[in-house]
Amino acid sequence: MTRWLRRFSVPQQWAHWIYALFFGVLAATGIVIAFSVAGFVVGEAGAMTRLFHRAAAVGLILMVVYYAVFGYKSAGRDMRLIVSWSKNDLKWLWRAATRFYWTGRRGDLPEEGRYNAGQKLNYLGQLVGFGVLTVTGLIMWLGVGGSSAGWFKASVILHDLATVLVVGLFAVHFYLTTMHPLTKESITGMITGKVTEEYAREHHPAWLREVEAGEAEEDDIEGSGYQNGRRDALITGLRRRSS
Amino acid sequence: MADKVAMLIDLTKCVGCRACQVACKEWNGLEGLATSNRGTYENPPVLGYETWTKIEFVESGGPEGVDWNFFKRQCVHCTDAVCVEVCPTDALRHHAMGFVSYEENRCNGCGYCARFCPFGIPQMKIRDRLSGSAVASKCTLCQDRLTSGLDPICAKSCPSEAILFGTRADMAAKGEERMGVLKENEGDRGKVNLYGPEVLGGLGIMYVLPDEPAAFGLPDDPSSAYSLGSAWQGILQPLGGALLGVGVVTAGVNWVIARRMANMPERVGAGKEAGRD
Repeated sequence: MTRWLRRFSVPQQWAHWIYALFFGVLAATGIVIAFSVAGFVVGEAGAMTRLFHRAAAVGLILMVVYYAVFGYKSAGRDMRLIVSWSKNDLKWLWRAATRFYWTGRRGDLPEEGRYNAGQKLNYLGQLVGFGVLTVTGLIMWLGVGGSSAGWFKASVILHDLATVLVVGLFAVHFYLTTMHPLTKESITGMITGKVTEEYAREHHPAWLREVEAGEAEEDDIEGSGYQNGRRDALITGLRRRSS
Repeated sequence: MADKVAMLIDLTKCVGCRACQVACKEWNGLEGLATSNRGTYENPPVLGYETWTKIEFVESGGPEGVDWNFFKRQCVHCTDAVCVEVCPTDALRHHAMGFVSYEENRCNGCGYCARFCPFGIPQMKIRDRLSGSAVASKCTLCQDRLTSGLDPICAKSCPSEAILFGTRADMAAKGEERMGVLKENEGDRGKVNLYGPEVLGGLGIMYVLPDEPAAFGLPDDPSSAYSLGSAWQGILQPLGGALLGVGVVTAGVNWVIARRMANMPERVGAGKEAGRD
């Protein structure tokens, strides 16, 4: 029987998937506006696209605020983790990108903790992008017909730049968590909240040690037979697809 | 349609009667607004969704007394029109005759044109700020009349022949000719200027001004506004799209490479994973 470790709490999983849902709507509506896809931007259809973009923006902002307030414990821990960088992280970043991810060769990676350097970058980038998109988006929303054309013009350009950042990060994130043969297993962390011990040892050995020493939070090595059975079936399926 | 059209507005001939303003509203079916007395004969106070052109009264004091000048504010139909660049719906377009056309039913109310125009011309009617429901409007140079072989209604209505209409070359020549006359008549008191032929690739509206362009709120060189808008649409957005395309292709290549390697565990000697298949 595979041993499973809790990686994300249920509220964190919800936060992630609600963010993903609104992000998807925002990216889709934003991209059709940016590239002037006629059927979605002209006239009344365009007004509707803009409305959906705003509705999803409100949803995403509220979700982030809600999570920051009510999930301040795990959000705060994550903030501390993603801003603390060591030489080890930089070494990992280089080796992982050139070797592990690109050529698909396992092993020989510096040991990383709960979040590896790539995940830290993804988290940081999404946060910075979220901040820029929120501020510039609100300026564009409330600034129509106002008097600050300079702010408005700066905002549309920054909004686009931030979009390139977050959509780019999303593309990498999506690829690594659903397609890359060595990392797609990680999706179980967001679907079931847990990852296999094997996965933890390979990708987050320092975190695994903390869990085993009882130092890490949310250590939860259990599960009903039924739940674990379902997780095992999931991981078997994922691994079969990769070969 | 070989020749582009242009309008020459000679403000040294304008008498401020505002017949053009009224004719514009009438021909284009624009609603008249109820306004209140602001202590000036100039009315309405600003351009708006229902006001595509208006005569502004410009007073300037000098040692020789007060100048009272008139200015006809309206879309100047740029050749390098930033509104056309930033409009995502093609509601604003270049017409072959040399004016910037506008189709209101294509507008989705984004307001980019209004904020990027260096002359502050397109006006938004904001129906609801929360939902963003809005619509833009601006002078179309009477696109319906022009395409039917008629001159713009403001030119037809002007009693003092301050608004001339014709080909670009003719209008520029007439402007230069008029400048010569004015300079001769007014001597060194004359601060006359011809504005338009050199601005943004040539404006469809040229002005003979009785003062410096700045006195009428006309920018000396609005090209940076055009560069910003066209760089945003012409460089940044295609680059973003290209980046995404390159990313997808890279991921595909990587997937093939990583998959092959991951499926050859014996050759890379990744011990504990060797049995997985």
